[in-house]
Amino acid sequence: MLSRRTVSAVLLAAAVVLAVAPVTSAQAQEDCGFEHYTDGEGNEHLVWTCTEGWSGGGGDGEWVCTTNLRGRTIRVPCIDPVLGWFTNALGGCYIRPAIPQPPADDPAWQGHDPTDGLIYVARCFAVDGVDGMPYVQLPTTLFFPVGEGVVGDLIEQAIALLPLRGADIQLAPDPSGVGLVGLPVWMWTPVTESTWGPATASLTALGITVSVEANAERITWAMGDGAQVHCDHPGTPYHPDYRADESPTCGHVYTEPSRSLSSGRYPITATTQWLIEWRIEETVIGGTVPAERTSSASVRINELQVVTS
Amino acid sequence: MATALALVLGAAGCSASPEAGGELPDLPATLPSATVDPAEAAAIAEILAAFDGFRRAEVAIQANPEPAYLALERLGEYLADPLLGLALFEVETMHRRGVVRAGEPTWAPTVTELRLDGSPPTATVRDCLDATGWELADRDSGGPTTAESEGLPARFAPDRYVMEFNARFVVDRWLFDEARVERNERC
Repeated sequence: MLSRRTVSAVLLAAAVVLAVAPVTSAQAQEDCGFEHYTDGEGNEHLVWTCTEGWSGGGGDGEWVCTTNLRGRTIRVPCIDPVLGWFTNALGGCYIRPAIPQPPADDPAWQGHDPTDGLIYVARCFAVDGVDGMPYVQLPTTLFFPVGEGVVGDLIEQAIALLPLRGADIQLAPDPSGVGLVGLPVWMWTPVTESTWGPATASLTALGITVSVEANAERITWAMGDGAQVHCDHPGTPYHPDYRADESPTCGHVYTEPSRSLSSGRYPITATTQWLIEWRIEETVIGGTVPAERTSSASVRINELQVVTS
Repeated sequence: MATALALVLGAAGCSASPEAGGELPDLPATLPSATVDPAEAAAIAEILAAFDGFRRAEVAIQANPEPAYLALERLGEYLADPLLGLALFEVETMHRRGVVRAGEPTWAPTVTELRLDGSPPTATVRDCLDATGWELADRDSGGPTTAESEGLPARFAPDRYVMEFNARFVVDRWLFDEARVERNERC
């Protein structure tokens, strides 16, 4: 059964905010926002524009960050539905994962492993102005592990709500019994939200909701005899009607008995590779992050005894 | 092989509704196919089809702007960052301001450069966008409004624009990731 775990983590997230981010309790600046502006030379900019100067009054209570631009403190939305979330990294930037993510051999990764994080599009405030107005520069790309700043923390908290586990290892022959050299071993896991997905969760804090969904992509079975079996499938449960057939989806055949091991059994490790998709609701901000969960079992394999008369 | 084609293969006079669009002047016609190798010809056809898809999506979305996150899937079929982010920001601005773009433009893309041996393969597309019949209007009243007053780029004014787009091949399709208006040129 699928379940959606929802946590309203205002207090928890607020504690993070106070510890990490340059966020004030101030409300949004009234009548301010980013606008397109085309200068006299035809160059397009995104400028921060206020109808009543930059020291405007209260807003509607949205989550507000502060930054210092050209000697003045201004309050900007911590989340923009297109630009991303605000971080004081690099002097004040909006960042969100690039769409699509560049291929693994793209120079944008700058040597980072794509499984360690994401390439973000960053729009950073410039130190100068365009016709007197603050503006964000043309986007650059940056690598960050999963997330950065308070929003990155919220994403990680939402991911932590997912009930991800390794496979609930099922084997034929049953681990309490004995298998035989040359006969197929079947491996599988029952499909639940925790073992194969989809598993979903969401977390609401600071006026945003982070939703996450995880799906298993593969189980790698290390069979204890040096073999690694990659199964892009949870496996097929064995039934006695299958007799000595091989599993149609995930199986292995031992060629040596397990008696030479000190335990007398082959240790089996199943590593489930999860892909977690996260997104901030009602924005274009989202990304993916891989995860692994491991579980283990063992099996005893004997030689096949041939009886002759 | 580093191929930089001096190609001007085009689909002149494209329009959101074919019957509404007239032929644009001074646009290059299709070159004889004998000058183009089959792989390049196939790539050019794919690029022009993608460009047509992008323009049609743009027209449909700007006729009734929704929040950007609802336009992401459709625009993401044709655009990549940073152009995707820019297009989404425009849609978000139009939605927030209550502005629509009424009428229909015509467009006439040509592939002017193709680098199939690049990693990734890239291309340059040159377009003549005739937006003279594609005008900003207030969503509620239907009355006219201007790009400047609505916080939109100057290229939203009803006019003709020579534009150049960068395209790159990503996984299984061509995506446009940069665009610029050639201000000193007319079409």
